[in-house]
Amino acid sequence: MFTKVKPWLYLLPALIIYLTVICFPSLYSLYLSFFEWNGVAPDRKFVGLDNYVYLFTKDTVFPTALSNNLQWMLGSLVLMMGLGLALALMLNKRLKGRTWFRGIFYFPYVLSGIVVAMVWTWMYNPTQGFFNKVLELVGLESWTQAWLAEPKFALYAVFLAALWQGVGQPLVLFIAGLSSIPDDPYEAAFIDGASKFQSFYYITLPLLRETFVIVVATTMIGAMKVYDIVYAMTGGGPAESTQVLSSLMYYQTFRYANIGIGSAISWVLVLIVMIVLIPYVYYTTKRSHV
Amino acid sequence: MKRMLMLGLTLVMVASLLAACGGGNNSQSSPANQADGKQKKVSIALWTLSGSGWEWVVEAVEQFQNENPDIEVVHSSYAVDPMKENLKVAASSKTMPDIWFTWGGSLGSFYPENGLALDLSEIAEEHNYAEVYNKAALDMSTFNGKLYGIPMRLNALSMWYTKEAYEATNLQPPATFAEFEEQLEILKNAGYIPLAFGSKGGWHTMRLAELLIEHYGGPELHDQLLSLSASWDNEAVIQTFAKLKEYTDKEYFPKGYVSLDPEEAQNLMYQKKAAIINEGTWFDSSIITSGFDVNDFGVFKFPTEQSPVRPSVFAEMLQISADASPEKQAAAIKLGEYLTSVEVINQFVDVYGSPATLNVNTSEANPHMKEILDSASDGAFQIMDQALPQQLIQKWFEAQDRVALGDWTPQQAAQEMDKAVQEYVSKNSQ
Amino acid sequence: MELRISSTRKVVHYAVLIILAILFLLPLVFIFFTAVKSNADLASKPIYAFPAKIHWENFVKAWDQGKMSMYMKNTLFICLVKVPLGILIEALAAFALTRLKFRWSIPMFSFFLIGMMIPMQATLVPLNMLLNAIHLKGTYPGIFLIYLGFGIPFGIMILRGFFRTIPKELDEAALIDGCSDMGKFLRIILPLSMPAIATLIIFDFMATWNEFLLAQIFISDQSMRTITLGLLAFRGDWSTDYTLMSAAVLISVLPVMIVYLLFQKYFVNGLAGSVKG
Repeated sequence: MFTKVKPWLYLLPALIIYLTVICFPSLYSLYLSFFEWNGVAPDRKFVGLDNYVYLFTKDTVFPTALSNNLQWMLGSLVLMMGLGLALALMLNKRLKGRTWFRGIFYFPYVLSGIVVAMVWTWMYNPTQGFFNKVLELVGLESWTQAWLAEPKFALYAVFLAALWQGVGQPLVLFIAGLSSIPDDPYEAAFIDGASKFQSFYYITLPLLRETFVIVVATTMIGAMKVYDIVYAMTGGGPAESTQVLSSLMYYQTFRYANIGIGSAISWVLVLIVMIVLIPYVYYTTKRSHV
Repeated sequence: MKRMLMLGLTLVMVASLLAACGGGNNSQSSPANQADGKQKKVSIALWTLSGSGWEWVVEAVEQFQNENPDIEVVHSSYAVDPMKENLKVAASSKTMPDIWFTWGGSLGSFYPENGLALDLSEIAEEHNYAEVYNKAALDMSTFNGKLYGIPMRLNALSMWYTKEAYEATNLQPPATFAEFEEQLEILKNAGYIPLAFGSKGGWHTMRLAELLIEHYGGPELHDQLLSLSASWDNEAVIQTFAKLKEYTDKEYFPKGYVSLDPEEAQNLMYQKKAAIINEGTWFDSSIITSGFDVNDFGVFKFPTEQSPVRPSVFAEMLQISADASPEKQAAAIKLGEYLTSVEVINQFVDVYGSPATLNVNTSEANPHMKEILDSASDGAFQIMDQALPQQLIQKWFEAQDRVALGDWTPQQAAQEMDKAVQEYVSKNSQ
Repeated sequence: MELRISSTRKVVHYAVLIILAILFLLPLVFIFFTAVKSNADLASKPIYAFPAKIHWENFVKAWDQGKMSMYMKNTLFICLVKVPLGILIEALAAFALTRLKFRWSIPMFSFFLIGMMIPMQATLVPLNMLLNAIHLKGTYPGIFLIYLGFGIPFGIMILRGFFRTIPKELDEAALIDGCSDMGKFLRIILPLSMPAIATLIIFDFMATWNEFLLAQIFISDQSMRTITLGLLAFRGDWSTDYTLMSAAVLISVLPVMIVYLLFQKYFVNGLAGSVKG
């Protein structure tokens, strides 16, 4: 009898906290998303799906925010993951100083979004910042920009900062994945006269499949949740052009006191992440049977 | 035996969590609170603005605690936008501080409307506020006929210029709107940034925009717009947007002003790189606390060519929590009255800005304050971000940016504003 | 793995890496230059110019004016409680999921994994109400509770991944030696899992030290502010003093750097288990 209860006892602390902090509140915010409420007034007005309808049909900023998140996700998958993989492959060789290199590329990931935002805002400063000064130095003055003030550039400027910060994560995961691949298949391929590309394509990639799954998953979640770097660099401006779902949710909830709409935004976020990740969870747990 | 160990450990952990939960009431863990003295202290939380011009509060609070050993003040301060957000966060969990700074109008009315701020009408009667504070300031702290704030400052805004730029270009403050625009061009050609505005947060550039609305629409229409009784899709609004776009295209604003922090715009004035800014009665003290000389600057009324020439004004106040215990409320009122008392204002008069309290000394070091206050004596309008509901002002900020960046034409921007206003009106009239 | 690298290739390889490394270090160099210049020096010369004179006192000024010691102390305190406590709780759960006879092992693991999908944003308003209802709003226990909660899914994932790589034979050996489950957990699994725990320490310490959104909402008392909030407040109040701001930024980064350097050699090994699914 006791052995049946025992695992639950070990799980209990984690489970209680998990239910209190994540499960119950997120379900409750789903409930709140069906109301119109300012967060304080005693009466909440039930409006059904109106908040969602409003977001998708009327709100002028929501589509921008959604599209920014999707662009961000795409950019992260292609650039961040690509650069991470490329660097991991380069560092995986028996290379002198690879710990140093790894440390350098990983280092920005240790910083907070706020720190990264402060460093890069200063780099982008229109009059004294690094980018414009360097452009002036090489005679490209006409290229200088108020990088964060131009809707054309602002999101990409913020993304570049995030790329600098974030590349370390896929990098370490890929290095971990690569280090678990044994040498033998490469030796065999070498003897069979396979080219470098062939051995990469036919050996490395398939054996990295599981690493890819985890990197893709974490990169996508990261892209959907992006918040502090945007908040601190642009605050969603100029003209709401860099607003992302998280920042919009924050502003709707905590500046305009539209709790219902803010909750609806956060649930759109949840749904998107779920659509993306359920296959991942399914895959991971299915493999666990083995 | 071993089982018991395991069970015990789990229990200890769960218990520690529960204990953590129970510890809520006595866990005001801030170091400042640990100094429990001999007698029982009332501890109150005070939130004010931070940054230049607000340093004096720290010293004043210190003095207050010395004079009132039974009261302890836990003071937190925030910059402008974080202040607005943190108050809302606190409101949504009903954990307002005991006494907090806020602005008038739609920014300050949220708390009374939702029962978070204490009705001070009786106190005002008892303590004779009518003779202590400026009537206009009291009116602007009144919502639905009840007083909800201890008036702190009554601010008027004005155009400020650097004497250096004006002397270098041989200019006098402009008397007409046409002259104002000519000067922008001259200043630009002389290498100055004519207009030091930063649109991050939206409200700084808004101060120029509302003067343009006043100029093009006149006082009557302007008031109707602010009270949502006239359509925003009208000529005056379109012309205002068109001017903002024109000034942007002519590079009268600092580079990248759309995302520039207003403090950086001020800095351009301090460094005399820019020529004109719109600031208020507090700007003398900002200049002083930033280490510059107020005599390098002058003020002029924006030539709206209307009569009267109205500046914009707004009130700042201290609100008291309706949910706090009576002892805390009493202590908070005491602190609020202290911070707005004649003696404290006289002590910090050089850095206080324009007090809402009557019969205080005027500061020798603030040479422009009186002139600006006088300019409001013939009439004034309430500043836009306090006159309009917050959703609508956000729309206005967005429109300002979009016009500057060329996303929207001035006509489109006016239509979008109008649409937002109509939606707001129909939603709130249901 | 690579069997033969020609020497020209090697040169190109290094060149690419070195250039990339320099690009990655640039922002850091730049912020350092800013931090040690005087304001006059900064205004008069381009930013990439070497400082005319090194002004170390900027760090002292930033430390004092930015109240850095208070913010660092607060954040360190939160980290020192949250990180070990979180790892213990997560390890107990991961132990149940991998080592005990537990029919619900896989569904429960999936259930915890779902937590990684929930963005914090979706919980903020209800959490705010909840903390208030149990009188924990704005208190350290409240903050611990929330930080612990958001660390659980990731921690369980990493630890479970690693625990699974520890051979079951060891369990049997332990059983023969008369170890109970708790003994097995404390004497065998935990010590063998040091790489994973080290990894988690880095991740957790970093995540907690750098956390912003939760702190922004759940910490309002100035005397409890964490380093990220403090930095942002510093920027709000001193937005024009880039030298001090840069100095503050550099100071704030030191502790995470130290933790990273201390534990980084475990890093890759600790992750390997979970990368393998």
